Amino acid sequence: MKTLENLDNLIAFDTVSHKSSLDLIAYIEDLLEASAFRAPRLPAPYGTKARLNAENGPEVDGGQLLSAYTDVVPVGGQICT
Amino acid sequence: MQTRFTLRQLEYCTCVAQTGSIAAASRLLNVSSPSISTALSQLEDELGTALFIRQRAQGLALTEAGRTLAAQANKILAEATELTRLAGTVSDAVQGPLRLGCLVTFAQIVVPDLRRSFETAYPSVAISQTELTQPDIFAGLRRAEIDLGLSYAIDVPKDLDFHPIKTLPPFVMLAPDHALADRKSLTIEDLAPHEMVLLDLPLSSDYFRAFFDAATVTPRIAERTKDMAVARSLAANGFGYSIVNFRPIGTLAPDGKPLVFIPLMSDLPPIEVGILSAKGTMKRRACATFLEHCIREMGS
Repeated sequence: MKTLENLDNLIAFDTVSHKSSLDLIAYIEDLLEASAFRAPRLPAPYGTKARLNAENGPEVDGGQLLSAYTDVVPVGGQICT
Repeated sequence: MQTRFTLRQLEYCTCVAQTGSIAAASRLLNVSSPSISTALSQLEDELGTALFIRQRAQGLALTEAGRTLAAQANKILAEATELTRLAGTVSDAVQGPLRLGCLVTFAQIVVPDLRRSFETAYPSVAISQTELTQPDIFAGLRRAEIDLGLSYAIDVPKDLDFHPIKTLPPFVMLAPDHALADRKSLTIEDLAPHEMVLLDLPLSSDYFRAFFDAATVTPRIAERTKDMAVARSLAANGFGYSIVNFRPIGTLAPDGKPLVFIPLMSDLPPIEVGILSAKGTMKRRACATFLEHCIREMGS
């Protein structure tokens, strides 16, 4: 149930390209840190977005490092299909 | 003034400002984080300025502009809470003025007694009364000159509400020496050859005529009056019979002469007496309580 609730919340953040993704990033940081991940934030140079790495386990070769981006491409105002 | 922000957005904003994070505000308000995030960015768009700095280390911090605006938002929310509280005080308490318009034909029989018992139980309600014809009750409710009307369910227009209190069967009112005075009940056909005292008020006279129309009988109208007290005394002095729905407690005419009341048998349904009101009036506690009081005191 917790998974579905988290997915609901993750897709509900309005992170369409021209908007800030920082509220979503903060939300994920909380989730990761509650699950014993380290989650260093890598701010984008223009300040309204950030990327997040998720690290777990010892910091050695072969450790876990997850990375994903949160950008959502808007469906309006473009010709791509 | 054109404001497109909502009180909810202000509430979320001040809560995030106090707690320092969307996650904490989410738990406190029991609202999902993305809903709060969306509300904040809509508010920022609407006000045209960033309210928060979204720095991880300090959580969410108010910007300089955000600090000023959040302080004002707190004032607006406090005022909004006060508005709700005030509305609650006004409508929830059984208090305040209550302007009652009663149908002129029976006001003298029921209103003083109803008022005495109600005002004793609810001293914070100040009732003022007027005696009106049915069309004037409708007009008074529409113009908000009266809060409630006490009358019959005759021709009630759709824009007004009727709250029934009780049904009243019709009676024939006669002098004790009238030829029909010793009957147990009467029909319209029994009345046809006798002279009638017509209470000639708008809608009331239509109501009396309906009895005769239903029986295809034409009444012999000998006297017309717009005053129920005069109609009683005319009947008591042998000027004719009359039809009434409210019997006075005593059976004396205003001039001290006795009257008898005999049930009128008719196919027409008995008339309903009740409270008339404009839409929404019954949300006021004083009005709803008065209706309950009428049902308790008059209902059977």
